Amino acid sequence: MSTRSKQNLSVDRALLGFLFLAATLTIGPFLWIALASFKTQIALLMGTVKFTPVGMNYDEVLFGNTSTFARNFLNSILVASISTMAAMTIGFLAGYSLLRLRWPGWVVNLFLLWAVVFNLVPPVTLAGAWYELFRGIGLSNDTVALILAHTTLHLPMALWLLSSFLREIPRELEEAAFIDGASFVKTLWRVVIPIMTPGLVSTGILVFIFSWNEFPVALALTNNTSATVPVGIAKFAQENEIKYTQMAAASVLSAIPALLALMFGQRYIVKGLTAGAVK
Amino acid sequence: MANFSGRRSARYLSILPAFLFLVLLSALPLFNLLALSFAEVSWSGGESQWSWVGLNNYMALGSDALFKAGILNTIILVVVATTAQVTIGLMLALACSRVGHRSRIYRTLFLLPILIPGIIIGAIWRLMYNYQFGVVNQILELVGLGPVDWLGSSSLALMSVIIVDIWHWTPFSFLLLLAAVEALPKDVSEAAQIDGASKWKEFRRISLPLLWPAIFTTFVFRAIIAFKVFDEVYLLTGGGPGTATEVISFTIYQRFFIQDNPGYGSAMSVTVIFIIAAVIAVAMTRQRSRSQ
Repeated sequence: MSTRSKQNLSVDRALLGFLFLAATLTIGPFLWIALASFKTQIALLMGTVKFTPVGMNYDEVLFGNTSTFARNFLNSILVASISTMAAMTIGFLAGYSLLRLRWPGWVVNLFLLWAVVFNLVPPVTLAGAWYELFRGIGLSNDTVALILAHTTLHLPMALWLLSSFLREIPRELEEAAFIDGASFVKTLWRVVIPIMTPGLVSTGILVFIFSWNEFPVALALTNNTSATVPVGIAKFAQENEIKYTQMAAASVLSAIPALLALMFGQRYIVKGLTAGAVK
Repeated sequence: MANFSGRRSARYLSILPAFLFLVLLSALPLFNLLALSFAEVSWSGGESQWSWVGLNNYMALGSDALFKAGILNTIILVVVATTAQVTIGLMLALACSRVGHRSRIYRTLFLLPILIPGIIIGAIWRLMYNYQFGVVNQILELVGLGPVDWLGSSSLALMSVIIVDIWHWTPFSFLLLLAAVEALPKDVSEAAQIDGASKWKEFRRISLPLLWPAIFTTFVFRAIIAFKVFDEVYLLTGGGPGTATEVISFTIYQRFFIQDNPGYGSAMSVTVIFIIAAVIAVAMTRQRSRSQ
């Protein structure tokens, strides 16, 4: 028995080593880019290991005359928060309606099929279609166009996730509220939403992050003034003389929502990611 | 249930916004895309002129070297990256569930790449792969290996992109598979151990069959996302050198927006959507016949 447990112990050590290696490889690149963002261009190009950290990259990215990053950041906050709220509201109402208000099977299936098919389509193909559509109605390069596009892009996910969370709520609670004479809106607001709060938070965080990160559609539908953070960062790489350290600083800044979500909403993210895939 | 029937307006109003988005912003543009694929668009005086060209756009796809390279590179990326991600993800999930108490820390760390914008992943790796000052070559130098041109060599570039994709998305596979591993019934494996089954045998005969549906789901999920790969490639290589890392989303993007050829870009999009639908349909039927 003792040899067996010794064997188990060394297996455990090997597994821990394997996990540690994977974790190091995962975190390493982030630490490296964070370090690079505090270097001068020369220190980076020379590959210096010891260096005096400087804040000028952040200064230049945020407040520089030629930098559009602060504007990109505001655009991203605007687009991500409005499209998240829209996708959540519309998705929640539709999900509730489909699950609880006795729609015939084909209506429910139509929406489910849409949610699935929509996820198969590469966003680039939609970007082309939306570009033509918004140009046709005079919304080209407008933030409104991008908000509408992002709402459409993430509505299937919101609908899918919120439906799976709604399914876990016992129907009896709402029926009791109905019988007590509560209105439709009141029932949703006072009964359904409070129970669903964790599910709403999960969905909200994920949709926000996905909208914040989205690149091809934003690239197609925006210009210099309406560009979002990913589009702004892509521009760094296309300049004649690439400002590598500023690109690093901008990268670190654009990871802020992800880091905040990770710090405060880790539990909800795991819940949302697994619910979306497994159900 | 008299109350329910009194809420007919609520019933319609609650579904209306989603229905409008479905019709106006996804079905309509997709139909437009389909129509465009049979047309050629020219510009005169700020107005677009469509002229119908029948199947010409589709015929041209057959002899388009970029389209072929895009499809081929995308398939290589999807197969290699997804297989690696599911394999490594499963190994990590099994390891993590075994050392149980510390799994929370690892779960947090592994979430990070999933949440970071793809374009940032591209930026980070572009710097790390840099020929002169990138950390990858710096480490190689420490062990006496010469600098490698990761993104500039046409034989290596696709592999370099695939490595980034594996790094980016293995955590996602890990997360899905960890949920499945943690849901495995404990008593079955205990019974197998008491019966003297070896660890490997127990895994092959008991755990793996139970995990198979989750592995399949993860594979399909990852493959779908991998097929859309765009962000990382855009910053890492821009499709180059030559056509070495041309992926299909990139090809479509260029037809539409760089060459301003929406008719041809639409035909390409429609073809790609059909290819994806066909692959998914085949995979689903095979999985269904397997599980029966």
